[in-house]
Parts: sequence; C-alpha cells; structure tokens
Amino acid sequence: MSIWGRKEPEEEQSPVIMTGESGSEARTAAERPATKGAAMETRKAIIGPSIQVKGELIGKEDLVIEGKVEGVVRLRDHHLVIGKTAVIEATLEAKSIRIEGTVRGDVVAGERVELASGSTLTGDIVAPRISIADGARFKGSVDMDRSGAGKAEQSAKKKGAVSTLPPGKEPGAGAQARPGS
Amino acid sequence: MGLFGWWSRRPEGGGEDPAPPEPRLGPSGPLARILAAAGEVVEAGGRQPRALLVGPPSGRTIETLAGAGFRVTVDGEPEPRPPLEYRDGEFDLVLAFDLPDGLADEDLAPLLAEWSRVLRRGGTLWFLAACGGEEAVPLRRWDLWPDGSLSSREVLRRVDRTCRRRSNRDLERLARPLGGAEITLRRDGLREIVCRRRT
Repeated sequence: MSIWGRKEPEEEQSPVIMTGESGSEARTAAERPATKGAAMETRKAIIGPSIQVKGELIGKEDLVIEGKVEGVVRLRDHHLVIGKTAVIEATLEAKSIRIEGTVRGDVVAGERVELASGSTLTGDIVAPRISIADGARFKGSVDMDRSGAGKAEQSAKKKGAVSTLPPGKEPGAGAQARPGS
Repeated sequence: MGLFGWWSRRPEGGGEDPAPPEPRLGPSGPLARILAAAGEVVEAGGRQPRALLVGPPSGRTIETLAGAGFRVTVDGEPEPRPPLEYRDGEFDLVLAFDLPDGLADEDLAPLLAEWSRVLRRGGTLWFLAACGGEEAVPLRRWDLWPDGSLSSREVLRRVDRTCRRRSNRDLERLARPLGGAEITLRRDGLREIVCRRRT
C-alpha cells in the first residue's frame, strides 16, 4: 500500500491465465481449479522426527522421513527424502531417493540416488544415476545397470562365470611394468 | 552477502557453493587402458570386473567406472584402517587417488598390504603422489572421466592433512610387496603410481 492510502494497482489484480484458442476461457489463477497433476506434485507424506516405525512402509505418494524406520520402504513411482534427523535401518525403494540423514541398508531407485552433504549411507545402491555431495559418507557397492531388474538378474547369474580372456587382456594388465626397482 | 551483494567474495574454504573443479589433467594412460580392458571383458561375457574406490567418493568416478563395466565398491572412510572387510582377491582394481599422501609410512605400509590382499592376482592398484614437501593440504575429491582424464576439487569441509613428501625410491620401496611400482610424472609434480599384484 502506498503512502497516499491507495491500494497499489498490483494488489487488485491476479495473474490471468489464458486457456483455449480464443481466450474465452480466461480465468484467474485463484479461480482455476487445481489440476490433478499439480495436486500430486505438492502432496507428500511426512514421518516426523519423533516417529518410530518398524515394518514395511508402502505408498503411492512422495514421502519425507525425519524419524526412525526399521524394515522396508517402497514407493515405486514416487520420491523419497530421508531428512537430516532420520535414522534408517531399512531397504529403500523409490523412483528417486535423496538422503540427508543416516541410512544403513540397500537403496534402490528407478531414476536417481542423491547423497547430500552430511549424509551417511552404509549399504548398496542400485540406480542409473548417483550424485554424491562433498561431505557425504558412503560405504557400499554401486550397481548402475540402466535397464532395470532384468539385467540385474542376468549379472547375478554371471557372477559365477570365469573370465574367458587370456591374462594379458584382463583389466589392469594393459600397461607394461617398469623393470624391478 | 555484503551491502553490494554482487561484489561480495565467496566465503573461503567451506562455503556452501563448491569451488569449480580444476581444469582436467590429461588422460591417464594406465587408467584409460584399464577402462578399455574392462569393457572388453564385459562384452566377451566374462566375469564383471570389480573396482574398489577409496577416499571421498565421487559420483562422476562411480559413473565412469560403472560405464566401463565395473561393479564399484566405495570405501569412503577418509582414513581407512586395516584390516579391510573385503575378501582376498575380490577386486580387479583399487583406486586410492591421493589418499596415501596424507598417511605416514607406518600407516600406509599396512594399508598397501591390505589393498594388495584384496586385489586378485594381476589386479591393479592406482594412486597419486602429489606433494612437493611437508605441508598442510586439504582433502580433495577426484573425478575420473570416461577418457581417463582427471579433475579434482577441495571437499567442502576442509580436512587439512600434513602431506608426506615421498621420493620415487620411497614409493617403490613401499610398493615392493605388491611387486613394484610404475611411476609416471605428470604436470605440476603430480605422479601417477601403478602397482600390479604379481603373487
């Protein structure tokens, strides 16, 4: 509001959103009903810092965990955030997983796993993309197979296979060593 | 932010914004060959090669190794202590980057023995020796790119270490249990050390 007591013009106007070819369906943002997509984007569940859960958590929405969870968390097509105060001893499965707290267990993501600064993860990661911030602590194995579970099963079967290449062709045998010291 | 925000200097050593990585060093010949060889093994249907990354983990390095066909294990302890929890001969490759620079000989020697133990026969230990003298240097995180080139930056929370200067002879002596060392001098005094387990 200005010093003259008048309402600023901007306060009387709401953003106008044009829809439709003719613009005849123009409505203000306040009048436009929330779309299903917008509602799903903002909707998420939160497990607060004082909550402890033992067992299996399965959901069809985004989830933020700030408390303690033991067991399994499965959010197949949604996003999971492990907050700074969270202590997790569980297997985590989600579309994308961001870890800011402490996790002991395997982490499986369809898209991406992100370890934020200050996070600690002890366990294996299965994800096509991984991001590790400075200050994150990680101990475990990483499987970045991008084609999903099918190839993961095949690689598990191959673990018992023996290399068919001659010793000179195996990894680490390419360079010539310097004569002994 | 100061009064004139865009004039403010970025906080030093530990601000929220990470410093950009240094310009990439040229490709590491040994690493480029190792990455290529791993790809050949995988394509031929052989056992998936396994790599152990030691020190501050880098998502870029993990992606590069995984893209080359390695199954990557990360041991992100800033100061690993033996005994390591891995089986004998479990890995084809151990990458330690510049971690040995911050360790005294009495700490590094048993660690080298452990890295040798977890390497299969013919496997490779690769690390860098960067110091020119005894000085405090921050812990760095190293990125390995698919062409074998390297870049690095200081980790956000500076962990200063006293860096031990080691001559080539010192390095070869320490690497003797692994069967010796191949030492390559890169730019700015950075040395690349490759050891292959022979026994």
